[in-house]
Amino acid sequence: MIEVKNLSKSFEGFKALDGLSITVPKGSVYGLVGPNGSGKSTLIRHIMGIYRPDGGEILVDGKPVYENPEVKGRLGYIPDDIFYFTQANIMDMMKYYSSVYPSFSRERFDKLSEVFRLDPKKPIRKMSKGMQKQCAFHLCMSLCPDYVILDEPVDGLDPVMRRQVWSILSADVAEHGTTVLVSSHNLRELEDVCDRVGIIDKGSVILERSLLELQDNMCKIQAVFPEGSVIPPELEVLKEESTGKLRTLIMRGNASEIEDKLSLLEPVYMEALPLSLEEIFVYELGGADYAVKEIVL
Amino acid sequence: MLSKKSFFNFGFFKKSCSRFSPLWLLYLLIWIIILPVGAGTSLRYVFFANLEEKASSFNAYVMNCVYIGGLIMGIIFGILSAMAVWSFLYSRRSCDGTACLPIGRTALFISATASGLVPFVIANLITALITVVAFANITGVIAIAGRWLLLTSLIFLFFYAMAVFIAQLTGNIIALPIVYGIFNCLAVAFEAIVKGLSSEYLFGLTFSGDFTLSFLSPPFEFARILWGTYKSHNVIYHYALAAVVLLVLGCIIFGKRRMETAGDVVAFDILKPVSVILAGIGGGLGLGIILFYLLEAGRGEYSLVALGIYMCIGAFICCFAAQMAISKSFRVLRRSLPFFAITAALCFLFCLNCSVDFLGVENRIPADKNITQVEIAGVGENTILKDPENIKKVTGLHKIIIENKASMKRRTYDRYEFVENSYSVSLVYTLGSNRTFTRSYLICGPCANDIMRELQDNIINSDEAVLSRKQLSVEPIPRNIRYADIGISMTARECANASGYTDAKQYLMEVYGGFTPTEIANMSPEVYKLAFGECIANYCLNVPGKDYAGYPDYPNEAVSEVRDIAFYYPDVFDGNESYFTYLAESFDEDRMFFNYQVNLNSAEISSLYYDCILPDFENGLMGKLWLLREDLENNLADGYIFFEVSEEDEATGIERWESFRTFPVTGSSRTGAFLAERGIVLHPVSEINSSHIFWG
Repeated sequence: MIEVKNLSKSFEGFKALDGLSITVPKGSVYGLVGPNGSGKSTLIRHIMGIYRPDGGEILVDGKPVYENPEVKGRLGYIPDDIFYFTQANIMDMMKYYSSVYPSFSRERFDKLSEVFRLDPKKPIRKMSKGMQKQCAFHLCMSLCPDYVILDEPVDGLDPVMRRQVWSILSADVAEHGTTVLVSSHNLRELEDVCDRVGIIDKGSVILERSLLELQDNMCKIQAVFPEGSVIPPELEVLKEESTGKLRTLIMRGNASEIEDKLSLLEPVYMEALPLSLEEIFVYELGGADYAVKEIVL
Repeated sequence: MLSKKSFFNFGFFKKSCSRFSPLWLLYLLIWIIILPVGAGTSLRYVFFANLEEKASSFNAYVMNCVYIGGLIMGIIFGILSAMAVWSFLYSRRSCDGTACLPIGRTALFISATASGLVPFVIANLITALITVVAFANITGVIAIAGRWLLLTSLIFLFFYAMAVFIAQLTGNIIALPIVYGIFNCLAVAFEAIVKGLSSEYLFGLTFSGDFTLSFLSPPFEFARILWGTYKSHNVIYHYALAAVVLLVLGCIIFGKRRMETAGDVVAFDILKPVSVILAGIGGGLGLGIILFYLLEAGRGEYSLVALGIYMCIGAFICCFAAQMAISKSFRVLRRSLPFFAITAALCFLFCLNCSVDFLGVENRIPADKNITQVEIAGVGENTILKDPENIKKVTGLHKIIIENKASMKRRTYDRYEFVENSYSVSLVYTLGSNRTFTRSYLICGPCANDIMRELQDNIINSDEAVLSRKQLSVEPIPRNIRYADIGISMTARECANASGYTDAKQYLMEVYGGFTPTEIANMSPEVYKLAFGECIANYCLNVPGKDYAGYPDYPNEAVSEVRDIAFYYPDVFDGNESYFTYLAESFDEDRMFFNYQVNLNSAEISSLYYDCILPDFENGLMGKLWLLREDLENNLADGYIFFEVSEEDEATGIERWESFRTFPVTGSSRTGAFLAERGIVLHPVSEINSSHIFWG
């Protein structure tokens, strides 16, 4: 389990993380979402033991990460900007990582070679962005990590390879109880793989729940109400749109409870629709002053 | 292999070594060219020498490789190696990629540092091994190559450690070599500028290249000692110890370094204001002074107000430039102002002190009890005094000089003008811990003669002073004497007699004219007459009452003083006229003085020193220095006795050199008799008058 407790970090007076706390349960796939500059990458660098926190602590299975090679040896990391030596090909990097990480498995590396099919002699710098990502996955998964920390991991991968990567990760989670923390803006994809989500903004966590809880806490209602009907004030409407008589309401709360209360208005038509993670993200952050601005140019 | 307590990561080390192998292979290649190949080329010139001479030449070449090659290679490759192995610190991507590895900071530091050091030491080892194999026939080649290996590796270690230390303070690959360069010469440059400028304005303050802080500028300190006369390897050992300290400090700093500073010019917040202020001071003292001299040169007196203004301009420019580099922004005006204010205040204080000497630099004299010795320089020969009574006399005289500073204080604009009746004197006090305190004065004005009389009669010619001038640390026994040179002013007749000639003209024609006896014998009477006769009056200089009739360059000029002799000889052998001239009114073999060079062998020089010079030093006028002109002219003979001695230190193999110079006096009974046996006649300077050769 990864525990981040009250983490703070400032860069030259700018508070990048402000008392942030999250918990990533063991064996879960945790999605970290947030707007640009919200502190996701900074948080990940703390979890990887790259940055030293100004305040708070980061524990992996109860042990601090910073300056703890034993813990860091159990973490696999794919940053948004992948690191490799200028002249190195994947075999060079494999040799390097195998000499540094005690858990590196050559057997696994060879197995994954069949999946990724990268040219072992081609310098990584000469590969396309997507190929470089594949390379990073190949090496990262060969470390047999207990924890996989991914920062925008599938950016640049083609759809087939995306599925391939997620399938490898899912298999690891299922077979070895690997814990995955993934930061991404591709919420559609996170929705498919994550079982827990944390939304952060301005260096703090806005909410952190399982995907089911998250979806259970907000719903989208499409209904046609009789003329003059007023939505009961106890129902929190986050957004409302009308197309003719058809009203679309984004409301906070459990879908069936909301339906029960709205049915008292005797709607002509009413249907509760599931909310996508992207919609949840947009509407949650809308409350945090990050709504999509309707600008007429 | 890996644990919490691991202090080294072989994987990281190996990768880092292999990644930067071109660098250390280049280093190896250069050393192979310099050492075994270069030594082979050098030894070709002593191919026919005996084994001992060959070994000596080989040793000298190899040690020069340490002193010059080792230093230059260390300076260059030290920084290149550090830039290579610590390059991961300077971009966010590589910094993150390295910092997330399961390697502790200490282990990372040791592994990275070792990867920049070990290959170079191995390259040195390979070079030494090749040298041993290539020169196996040379006696002691293993010891010589071993010494080269040790000393070269230690020099490299120091410069590399220094670069590693600096690498921890900066987060920018371009800033690293710049800061390294600044660190290497900062102290010397700072001291030179401050001392040089202060000596322009403060009475007695002098700067003659004697650096107190040169140890903080290692290349200068290495060069000063390793390229100087008295070479000592201790400097290398001391800096090697400093390298260890720097590496330990570097390790501590690396442990505290924040990886988010990758790309920043300065990696630690606390150092940012310090850097801006240092840049401002550097700008004030460097750029400001350059502007000052460029724009104020030729204006006569250098104004301190102008100096202060230019220093502030330099400080302003550099403060802002540094702040811009650190902040990576052009909008730094407000942030920079406090730092500029600090540096401007320091510049102002410096100028104020140059003007009113509020620090009391001009009046400072060390307390007698703190002085271990005083050296009086600038009076012909340096004199060292250690006797407390003599030291007290010196400080007493120093007080008198300071009391009279108003009448002799030099103004900047008359620095290069001749000051009538003036004498230069430097006092170098050695205090505890070998610190020195130096003041230099141009003694002039109404009190000048009294001060110089006191200095001459009671200080520099005291028994201790005279005896101090004879002491040599290398014994001048025949086998240590390397060079000897005696020059005495004598008349043409005396020179001829001493050289075994009966005819002074013949002597001069041969020795000074370069004519062979056959050429002289074949000269027509007209030509011979031209050489020593009236023709000189027609063609040459310095004939009282006569003009230069016939001499095309000076058709109508007359002269009033006879100074030199002249020969005129038209070269008629190749059809074109050419001239050899050595000028005189007319030839007078008893009035014309020449420099007579005496050739003595090492046994004679040794005997002259022990049997004549030393006793004459102890009881007689010899060894005394004459500061006042009338005393000098009446006592001193126009000539000198000079020799050099050297001795090899058996432990280090370093040759210690020393020289001895003294001036014969007309009253030196033993030395005079020794020289008289060889036909040498001593004339006091007054007798020679304006024809003297050695005393101006």
